[in-house]
Amino acid sequence: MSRLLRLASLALVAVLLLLAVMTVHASGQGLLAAVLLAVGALALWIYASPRTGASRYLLPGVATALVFVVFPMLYTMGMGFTNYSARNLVEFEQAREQLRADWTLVEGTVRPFSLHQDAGGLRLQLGAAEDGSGEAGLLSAPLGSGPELALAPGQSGAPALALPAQVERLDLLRGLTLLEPGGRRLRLVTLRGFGETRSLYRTEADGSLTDTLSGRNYRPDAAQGFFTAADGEQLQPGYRVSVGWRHYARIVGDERFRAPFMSVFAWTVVFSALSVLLAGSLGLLLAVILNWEALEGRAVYRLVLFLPYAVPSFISILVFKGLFNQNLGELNLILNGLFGIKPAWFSDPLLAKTMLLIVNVWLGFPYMMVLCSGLIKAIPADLYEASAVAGAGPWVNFWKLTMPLIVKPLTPLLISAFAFNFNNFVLISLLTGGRPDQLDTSLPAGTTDILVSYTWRIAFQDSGQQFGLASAISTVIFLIVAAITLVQMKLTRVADDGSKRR
Amino acid sequence: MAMSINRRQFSTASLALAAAPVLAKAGPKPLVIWFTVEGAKGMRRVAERFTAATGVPVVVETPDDGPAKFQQAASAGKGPDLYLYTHDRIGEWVAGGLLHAVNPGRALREDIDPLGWQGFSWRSRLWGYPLALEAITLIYNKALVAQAPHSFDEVIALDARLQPQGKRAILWDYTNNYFSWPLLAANGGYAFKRRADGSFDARDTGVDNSGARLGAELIARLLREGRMPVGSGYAEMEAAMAQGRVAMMINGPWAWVNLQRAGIDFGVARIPAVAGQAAAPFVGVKGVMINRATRQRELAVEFIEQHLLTPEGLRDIDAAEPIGAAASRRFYAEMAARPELGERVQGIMASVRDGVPTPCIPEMGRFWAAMKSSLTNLSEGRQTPEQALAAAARRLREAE
Repeated sequence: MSRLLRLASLALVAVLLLLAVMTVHASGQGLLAAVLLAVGALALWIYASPRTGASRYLLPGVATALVFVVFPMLYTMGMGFTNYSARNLVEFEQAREQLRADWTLVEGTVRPFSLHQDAGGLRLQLGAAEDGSGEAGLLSAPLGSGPELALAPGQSGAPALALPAQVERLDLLRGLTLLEPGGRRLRLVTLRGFGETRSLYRTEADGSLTDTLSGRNYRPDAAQGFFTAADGEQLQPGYRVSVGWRHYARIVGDERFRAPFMSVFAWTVVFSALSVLLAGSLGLLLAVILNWEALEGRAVYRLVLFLPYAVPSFISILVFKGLFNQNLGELNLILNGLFGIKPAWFSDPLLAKTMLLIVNVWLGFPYMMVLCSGLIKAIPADLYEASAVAGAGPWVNFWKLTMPLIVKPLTPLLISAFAFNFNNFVLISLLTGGRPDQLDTSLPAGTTDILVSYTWRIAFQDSGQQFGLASAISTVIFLIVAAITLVQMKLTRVADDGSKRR
Repeated sequence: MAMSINRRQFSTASLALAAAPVLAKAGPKPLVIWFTVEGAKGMRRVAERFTAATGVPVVVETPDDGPAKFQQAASAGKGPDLYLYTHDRIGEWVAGGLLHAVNPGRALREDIDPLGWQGFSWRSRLWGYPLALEAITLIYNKALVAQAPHSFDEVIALDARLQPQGKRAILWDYTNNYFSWPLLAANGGYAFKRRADGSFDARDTGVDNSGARLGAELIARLLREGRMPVGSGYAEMEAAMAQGRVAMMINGPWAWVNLQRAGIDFGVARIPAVAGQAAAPFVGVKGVMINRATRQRELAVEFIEQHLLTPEGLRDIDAAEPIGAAASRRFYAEMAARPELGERVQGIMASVRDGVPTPCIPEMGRFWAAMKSSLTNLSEGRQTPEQALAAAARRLREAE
């Protein structure tokens, strides 16, 4: 009985899974449907089979990692090889269909119409054309005798149908072609009128398009993603094609691109390293002080010092932006009152960099402080007692006991903090936006831009959205961060091994 | 236990996914419009009349970050049937195949201001129906300036008069090119050269020609002589204006609300002339566009032509959120005749008449970015006006 129930519920889940996959596929998300199908089938097998054992517990984690980490990464890398951008947004089929279906109205040919139900059936009554050409009143043959209806001079005796009734028959009206006695072919152009239309492009047997007016021929260019004429004129819209390594070649080979890259890269490394170093030292210092037993009200200090971390960073960054404002900011009011100076925090490159570091340290030290407190707490108290017996002061304690014991567990966290700051887009874009700009570059690059914000400027601020290029640069940044992290991990492991051997 | 929960959750999710398209098919398909948050109230009143006349329901939505969402949705064949935005994105959207060309009826074509149509014409077709014309203007505090000055020479004279009282004549967000550009364009500065066929030459820029330099030098002079503080931005301008410390600013109609709140009696006028030539702001044409992905093109046109762009429809929209100067000449005449407000709307229109529609090509992103950094450098004295403009021009010419 329970076996039967089990089978039935399995079948139900399988059917629902297939339904979901079909729905996703039908909405045009082929890749997502495939992933869903693969993950779903895997889940079904693992939970149904009696032999899978531990995988049952591993699957949720592995599946989540696949869907949320590996899939987006591969997707981004894949997009870096396409020309996906504001100009090449749609798929080839979509672009061709748009161009084929495109029409213009022949000026002045629109005739207003109404629908009339008389003895012979439903007929269309057309009024005079906008430019007054042809007959003033035309009556169509009854609807239902095919998609083409002949028009003849006449007036219907029956009253016109109301607009809602006309709207209900919209699909029927869209399919109609009306033949004027003069030979013009009319189709529905608005809810109230029929007019003569002209297709813009004609499809040739070889898949190219010909402009019906000028006779120019446009061939699909699979390298650029446009229908292109012999002289290079391109039709819009373009479509998505694979461009291979073009974006990467541009990143590496284009002088205008490369020139600011090195200075931006250098600042990125300095910014992340100094942020981690300063926030880490401040956090450690505070943690050591707060760990001092004789200090009164430590819990209160700890709470107050942790507060910066509890405020959402995008709020505190904007608050800082106000505080640092050159003319109205509180900071400059104080500095002006005390020393009579008004530093230009946002326009002097060095001061802007300093400001970024100050704000980032403020945002980052509470986390470091809490981490270090925890690690210090884990150091056995008898070690300190022993060192006190040996006559060591706080300075020796710190360098000989505390530091060596917490530096190992702290290192991976420092590396992750470094990687986080390497891509700290929110801080840069909210506080300085990368400005002040470097003076002599042909692509806009700021003195406080880090790699991600520089990418964002080139890909989205320069000339429309360039998703393909942005993906390629993101991939490069990903590789750089991965390489730095690997090297750091290698180095710490070497240090580890060294200490073990001793 | 864990297993059964997992299974149940999974099946609920798939059920929801499977049911979605079935639900969507029920009932007549509504016309979907994306509009501004405030204006949506007026749009819903227009929609009620449309529904009464045609039997088609209308859904008015107000997404934030509209342009990005519209681009994303429309390229996937989704999104609203109608979308309201400024004309300056159409170059990008037409290139992406996101818009339907429009064929306005004769009556409407004659009613709408030609400048509006000029904004929405691209590659020799029209891509939207103009709703309103927008341009920045001079906004002046009537308690400090009886009559708006016509030229910057008068502004400087006024500043000298106001200074002893601890007040200044003018301030604007001068590092923002949107506000400073009218001065640079007055004597012939241009972003990108317009070719005879209406397209733009992205390599031909006039940001460093002699006309643009006149404007930039004027800004540098105002800063050098201390008539405007260095390192000041939009917030400083707004605060100074609201407190009556500054007599005039260059800003748009969105700033009116705060001035009214601060109890300032203000007037709206043309931006003062530079070296005898009228300042030329960029004109934004707000208009309604039809999504290429719509399956109800005829109904969309019906909505716009018969209900939205009629004096009655525009009145509802304007009552919900002031649209500035209407593109419809019939409704503009009505607006301009109103007491007090009419005078301000006329001020906008006068400024619009001096300007040109913003080029609608994506390369404008490059133009704004380059000018922002040039104006910033110039204002801080890191570069002379000539150097700053030359740097911007080089960025524009050397790109691609």
